[in-house]
Amino acid sequence: MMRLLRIEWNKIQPYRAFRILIGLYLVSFIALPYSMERIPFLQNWQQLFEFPTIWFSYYFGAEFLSFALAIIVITITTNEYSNRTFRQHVIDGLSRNDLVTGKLLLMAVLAAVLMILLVVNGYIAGMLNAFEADYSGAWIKAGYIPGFFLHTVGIMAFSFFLGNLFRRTGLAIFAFIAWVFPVELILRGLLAGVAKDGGMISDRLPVAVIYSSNVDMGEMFSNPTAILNLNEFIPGSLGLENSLMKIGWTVVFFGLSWWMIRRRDL
Amino acid sequence: MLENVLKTQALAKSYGRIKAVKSLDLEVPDGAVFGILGPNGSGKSTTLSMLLGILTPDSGSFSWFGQAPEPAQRKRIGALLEQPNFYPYLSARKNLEIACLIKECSPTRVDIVLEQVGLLARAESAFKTFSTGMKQRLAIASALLADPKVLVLDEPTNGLDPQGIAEVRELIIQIAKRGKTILLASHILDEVEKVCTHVAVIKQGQLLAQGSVMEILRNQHQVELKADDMEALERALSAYEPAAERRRVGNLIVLSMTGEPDGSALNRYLYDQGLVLSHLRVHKKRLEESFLEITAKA
Repeated sequence: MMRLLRIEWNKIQPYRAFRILIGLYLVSFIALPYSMERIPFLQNWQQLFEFPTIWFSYYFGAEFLSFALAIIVITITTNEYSNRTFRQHVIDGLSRNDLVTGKLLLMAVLAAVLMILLVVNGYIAGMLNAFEADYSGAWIKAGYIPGFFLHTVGIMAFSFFLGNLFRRTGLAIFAFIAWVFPVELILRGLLAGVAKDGGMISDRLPVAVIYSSNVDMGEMFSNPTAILNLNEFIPGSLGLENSLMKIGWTVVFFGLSWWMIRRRDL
Repeated sequence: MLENVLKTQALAKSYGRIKAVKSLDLEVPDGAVFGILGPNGSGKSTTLSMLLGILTPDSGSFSWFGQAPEPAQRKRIGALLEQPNFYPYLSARKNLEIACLIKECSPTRVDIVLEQVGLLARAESAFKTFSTGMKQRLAIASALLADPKVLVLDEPTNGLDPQGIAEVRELIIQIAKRGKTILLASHILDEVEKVCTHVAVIKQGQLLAQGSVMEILRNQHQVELKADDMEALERALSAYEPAAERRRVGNLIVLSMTGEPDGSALNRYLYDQGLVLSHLRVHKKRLEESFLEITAKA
């Protein structure tokens, strides 16, 4: 396992595109809980980055940044095809399972490291934003911390799948954007129109699931009572159902990637 | 009898309706420099790709070192298929370090193989800055990393300039001297003749002949003949027993002989039939002729 991880790390660590993207991502990720303090249309924005709502806000803001992670994963996956290095790895003695396991480990470790960073940075930001030095309730909404891990792994699994499916960087990135913005939204609309329980199905589409924060954002921003009582309005975690669905899509996307790599002539 | 390093049984692969490899049986003895000879598109690369786990055979089987194929075996096989595959942005050394991690060999091997192919001075340069010849040499270095028992080389001199070709061939001969088994696919007859001990000739995915180079390709002698009346000469030769085969090549008749040719006996035989030769030349059969003969029959 450590060997597969070291192989993956040796490939990406000197890669300039990876360094730049991950660097930009990290800067934005760390700055996030300090820079999003001023949201003009929200009266009591302070609440958002105080304990314990900060875990939700950090999760919610980081969701937008994970586009960078998607591009990183798509690039390093399609590179293996354009450089024909997946092929070379098999020639050199890796099994096809190893190819998937290596990437899976890399993504899991990356997500875990980012999660730890979120905890440390979020706690520091929470302390700085707190009115008084009482942190007893700091962890009440800490359920969003593992939720962030599930989101990150999920979005990377989706990107890995697209990378394996299209094998070309530009095409896979285009497919990602196309799916996230119009395609899934159109599908949701169609499903909601066609089926009685269309909403049920459309809420289970991959991007809806992976990007779900278990909070009705429209309601949150438009309902004055919600804004005044963010603490009560925002639940403590993603909830069991959404967490399981995130895991479900992650398994599906890794499963499909595994199936493609196993069956394919490299 | 030497042990076989590789054995294939009825190996077959098609791409849609095109049958790239048809029921191929190969036996590669330990320590051989085994050439797979065939024109472009004859199924050489497809065969090697199956043997290295990149393509899945439609039917048939093969065994390395007498065992069913599994990924770990390939760590003991050094391979260069078609073109060198490396990360363009990584240095030669970093690329080899990754290969080394995959093959689980000692990191000290990296410098040794770079030295062997003459790239140690460029070890820190990115792969994308290399010339075609250097890329090819790096691929050979990578194939040598784990000090493998078997080397699989697919068209290793493809795209190289004459000096590069000579260097790579010299390298192959050096490696073979160290007792390694080499599987070399090539469409260049000269290459196979110069470096191989054994050869398999394939065309359109079918095995046409297999055995030692001496046996298959050079054991026969040939006699070139010419007379004023070529028709009469042809008639007279049709009854000449020591000739295994007779072909018209340009304005000559070429005989392939079964045994050691006796020029005087042949000359006397024809003179007795009233034919006077204007040209008689005895020579050992070249690989090219054998190859054309073998592939023409198919």
